[in-house]
Amino acid sequence: MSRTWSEKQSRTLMGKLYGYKSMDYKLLLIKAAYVEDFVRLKYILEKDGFIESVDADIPENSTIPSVTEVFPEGAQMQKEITGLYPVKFTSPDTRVNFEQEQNDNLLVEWGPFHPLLQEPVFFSFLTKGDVIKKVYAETGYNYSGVEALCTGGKIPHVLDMLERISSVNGFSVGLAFLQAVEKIHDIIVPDKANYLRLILNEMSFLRANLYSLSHITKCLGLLSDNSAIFKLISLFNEATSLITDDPQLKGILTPGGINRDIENETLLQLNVILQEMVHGLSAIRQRWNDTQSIIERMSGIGKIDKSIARAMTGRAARSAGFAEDIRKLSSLPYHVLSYKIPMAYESNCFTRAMLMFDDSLLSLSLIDQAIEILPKGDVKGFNGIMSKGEVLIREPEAFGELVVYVSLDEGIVTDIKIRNSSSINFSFISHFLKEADLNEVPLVISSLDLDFSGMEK
Amino acid sequence: MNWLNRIRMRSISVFIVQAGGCRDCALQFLMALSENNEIKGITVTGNPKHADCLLVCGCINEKSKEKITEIYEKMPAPKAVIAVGACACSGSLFRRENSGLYTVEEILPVNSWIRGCAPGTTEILEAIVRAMENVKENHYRNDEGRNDL
Amino acid sequence: MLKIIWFFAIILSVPVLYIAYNLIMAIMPGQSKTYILQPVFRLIKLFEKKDEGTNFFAYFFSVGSCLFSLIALYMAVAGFNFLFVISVLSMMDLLVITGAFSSGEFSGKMSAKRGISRFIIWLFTSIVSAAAIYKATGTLKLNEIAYLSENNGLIISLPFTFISLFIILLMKGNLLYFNFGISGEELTILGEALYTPYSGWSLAVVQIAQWIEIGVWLKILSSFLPLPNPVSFIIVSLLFLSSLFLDLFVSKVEWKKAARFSWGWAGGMSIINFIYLFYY
Repeated sequence: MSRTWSEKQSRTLMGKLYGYKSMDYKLLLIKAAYVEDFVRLKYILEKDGFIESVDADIPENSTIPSVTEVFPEGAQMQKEITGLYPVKFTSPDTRVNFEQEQNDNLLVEWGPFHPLLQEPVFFSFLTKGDVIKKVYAETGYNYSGVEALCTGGKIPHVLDMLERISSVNGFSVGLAFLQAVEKIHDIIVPDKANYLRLILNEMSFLRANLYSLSHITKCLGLLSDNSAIFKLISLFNEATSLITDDPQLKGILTPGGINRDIENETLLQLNVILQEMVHGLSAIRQRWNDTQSIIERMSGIGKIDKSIARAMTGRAARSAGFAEDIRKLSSLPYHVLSYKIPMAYESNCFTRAMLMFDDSLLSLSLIDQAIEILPKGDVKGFNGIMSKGEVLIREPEAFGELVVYVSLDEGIVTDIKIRNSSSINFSFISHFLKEADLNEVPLVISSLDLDFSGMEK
Repeated sequence: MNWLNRIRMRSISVFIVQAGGCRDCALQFLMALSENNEIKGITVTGNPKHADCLLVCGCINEKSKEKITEIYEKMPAPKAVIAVGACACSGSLFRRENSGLYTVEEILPVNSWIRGCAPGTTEILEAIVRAMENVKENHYRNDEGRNDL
Repeated sequence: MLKIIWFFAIILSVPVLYIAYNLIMAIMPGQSKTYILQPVFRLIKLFEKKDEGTNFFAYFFSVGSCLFSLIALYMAVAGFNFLFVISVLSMMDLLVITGAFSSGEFSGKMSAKRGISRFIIWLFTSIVSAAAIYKATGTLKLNEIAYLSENNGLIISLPFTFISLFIILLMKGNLLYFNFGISGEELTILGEALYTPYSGWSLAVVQIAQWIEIGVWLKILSSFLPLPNPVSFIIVSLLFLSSLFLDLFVSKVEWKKAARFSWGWAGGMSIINFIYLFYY
């Protein structure tokens, strides 16, 4: 006997979500799973570390209200669910509605493949002259389904895949997955391994921020700074080659720690090379801060209101004055290190670019501190006892918060869901680009740090 | 005409398709352009009509397959297609039966494959130059195979 | 005979300038990512490319613009009236712009709009400069202007006119703060901008037309210097080459700002010189 989704159920669902919204909860993740002949949607919400969830069993081929009415950051997550499950969401943000508003505006299409686009996105802009009035973005050009590929896989195989889904955040995703495995199997990670993981994590953040900076310099047309940033990336590769062949740091992580010990001497040499970057980064930062044409060009674009930035994560939120410290959510020993979260008080392209420099310098400082106080000991803990369970992990990634939900059964991944920062931030793309000049679109998008790993994969 | 081949090798305009995947292959290529001073004359273009060489990185799905084929059709001959990285060459870890993933070979005639995850910077540039050196005009229909090297 | 030599020398001079630029960049450490003869390699490669064959308008506009640029060059070398040369160059520019517009692609249309802005600025500047030149010399014939410059030091009466015409040269070369972002040399959302509909040999022909146009402006500017023709042409070419190097250190500005700069410097300078001559 099939059930139908009624108007009353919609009102109940939205009522619950509105209730949590009024208590300042944020949407962390929307999970979907098949349960008999329903699709069970789980809206996972969070406030000050407290996690709540709202479940809804949706009959197949139903249309339910969109969560964007309450939590606009859920737009991209909903799109992915529509792609994978037979559920539709009512939304004004469709291609048909977009085309109906064309009137006498010019329709300009860009993408999905362009040297100035970090990820494949097909943009449609309605413009009046050179100014964008409305944006419609179509994603899905990335290979989709890495979560489906992981389901049913063994832990080492899933780890290999997750490390490869992003060149800039793959290490963080792999680390978050392993932390989930360790929590479910009660594996205790030795202190030294945790510190080494912290150092490698910060190195991956540094690499990600350097690539973001190189992209911004390309969009600005600053070829000499672009070369300078690539020289810093070569320096990073030189430092990484001391511990592994792979600058993405693939193949180092293992459940319980890391798979090889890194000697103190090697770490000290690595640190010396990395700290050479401080001067180069500070010099470029200072030069941009002193160049009026760069400030004028970038400060006027990509502005975002505080009310919208509140729902975002990473630099998009911090540049609007929200002191988002994702590192304190991590199980890595960030609490023993001394640092101040870089912030700004007005979110625009320029402040976000300056935060890229500040975040890179912060990573270098944290690596320096961690190497100095590195404890002695093993780098791999006991394998743990295979068991069954599910856990939600929140970890920092280079561009904001990463949320990973893992469900294991005797060493096999039965369910996995990854939500990275772009999943949240990309939902607000139209706010970033509204009233922007068409020429400035690549620069605005590059300040958003698009990384579709774990999203659309 | 060898001199014509040599000239073609010295002015190569590349259109990069980051079809998905981790983006590292495209980043390696950009790294190669900025650091390598021996292989010159390679530029990146945003217009397929002005491109000589199509660099495909990442895993291709149904949606991006259409767009990549469109781009290839717009490029004027002589042109080369290079599959960069394990994902584009064989699907890497992500390939399954009926998973909806295509390799470049299944949709376009490929001139060079560069394997690796991610391949080295020098290998990418050398493969581009070799592909353009040996490119021939008469293998540019979708049903034709790769170049004879 | 001399005119024929000048004709071919000017055609070759602009590619030689770009090759000299590449040569100097190759000597500077870590700067060169192109071969010294890159412009020539690119041209030969483009001629070898097979065009799609579906865009008749691209052929028409590219060949037409090249033809007009050659006519303008001949007129400049033969010392024709300055305004005749300007009118032929206008036709050339309009053909390139119309070609971009006819592509139907948004980048072509948007860059055609910027191209029109640039066209209006340089045309206005040229007309006001022509008026100033006529006021100072009583003639608009380029060979007579060159003769008067060499013997009477014409540049003393027309310094701002010279600067405004030099700014037009910079606008045509897409340099410094006068870059309207339609050259296709930088990566932007506009793709290859003004050259969007062209590919293969039609793109090569448009490139040649662009080089010849710059050569024409170099010849016009060389008429103002109080030196023999070959020497003044070399000096103006060296000034253009130094602008190519200065462009490396100047960040790109948004095209509307470039348009304002161009109005101010090119249009403004020419008006100042004209008013000065008219009243004093």
